[in-house]
Amino acid sequence: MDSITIARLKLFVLVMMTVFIASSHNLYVLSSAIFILLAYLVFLLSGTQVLYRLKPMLYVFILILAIQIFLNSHGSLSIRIFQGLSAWLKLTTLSLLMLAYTAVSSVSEIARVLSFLPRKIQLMLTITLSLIPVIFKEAQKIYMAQNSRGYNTKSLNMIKNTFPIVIPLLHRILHRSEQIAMIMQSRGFNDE
Amino acid sequence: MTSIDMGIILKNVSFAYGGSEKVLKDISFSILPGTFLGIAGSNGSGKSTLTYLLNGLIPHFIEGKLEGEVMIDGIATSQKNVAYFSRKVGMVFQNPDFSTFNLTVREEIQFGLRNYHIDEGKEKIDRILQQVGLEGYADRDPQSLSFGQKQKVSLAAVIALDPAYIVLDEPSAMLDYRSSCELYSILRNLNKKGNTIIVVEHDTDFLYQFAEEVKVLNEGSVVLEGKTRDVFRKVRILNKLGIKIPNKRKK
Repeated sequence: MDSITIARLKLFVLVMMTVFIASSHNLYVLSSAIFILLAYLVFLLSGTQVLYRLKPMLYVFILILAIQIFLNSHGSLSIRIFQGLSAWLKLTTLSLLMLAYTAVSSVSEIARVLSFLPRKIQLMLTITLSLIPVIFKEAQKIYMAQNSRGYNTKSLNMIKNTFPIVIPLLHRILHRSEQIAMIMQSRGFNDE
Repeated sequence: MTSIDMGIILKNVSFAYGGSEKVLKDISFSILPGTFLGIAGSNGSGKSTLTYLLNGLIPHFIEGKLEGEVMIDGIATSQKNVAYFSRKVGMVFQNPDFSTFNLTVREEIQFGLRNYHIDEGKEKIDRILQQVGLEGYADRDPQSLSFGQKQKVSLAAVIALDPAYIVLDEPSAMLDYRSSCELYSILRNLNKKGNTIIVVEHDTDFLYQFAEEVKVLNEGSVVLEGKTRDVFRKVRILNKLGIKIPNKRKK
């Protein structure tokens, strides 16, 4: 099997599993899917990486539960909690599924498999995909630069923590986007 | 079209970015086909803005107040879009880190070729990569390359379109000496093949070594121009403008 067929197969499996998980309401099925994915990811990556991915899902769990208990007025409390749990399990499974997919597929593989899309959309996706690691690198550089100027992340003030990183990062991203747009135009790209 | 129309002609060009002071002030000059022209000047003298004028990015992409006219082979840049002029004037931007946006070097070169429906076969791309000294790099991720290599990829993407004029904005600004020398050697070869090279450069050593003619900008105006040797003989003026006197032993 050639690489493009394998890439297509991976995308097909991802789509099928997403549809299956999104339409499933059985807690046993969802829990089993999470368990299998966790075991696979720990084997494929590392426990630390998987935990890093799961940490935000804990906040999502609290948020969903709070919404179900305080804002949802349909059904009894146990039904609302069950619905909340089901939604959270689905989101966690999908998140782990995406992690598994990105762990076994390179950025270029993902872009190549999407070659059936119209050129403009394909281009947008390619540029976005190629810039994700670049943005992470930029954020790291800014973090280091701010640290060397006494930036302290131990402060409890979230805004104070985020601003010194996010503002220069946004500035760089916008500058880079503008330059890319200029380069695209000067290499004959006509978006009209 | 008569031969007198060929080349790039600037007629009384002034430009100001939206609402601010003029960055370029009443500039007039012409660049004949086949020239290797260097443009020097201190920071803020309008060098980069001048490059944006040469392929129609000003007035089509960058907003501001443009006076006068820029003619490329007899056609004013205001008459056609950037895509039209990009076939004639290739542009290599200053920051190589920001200049690549595709997933492989091959795709970086194919991007422009696809826009103009030009043959994008493997052989052609391999030949272009060989021309810039990047054989075997076709399937590499441009982001994983060094600054010098990224700059060469940008140049390869421009060469692929076979433009008559190639404009480079401070190509050596982020490169080490060796990479800069390699890049200038490629430019010299292209110039020998008939391409017009226009280089905005702060490192006057490279201009002295490679350029036939030099123009010096200061506060948006051309204050010195002529043959490279003649311009760099005017040491007193160059010192006053804060421009480095080139090391002439390298010539």
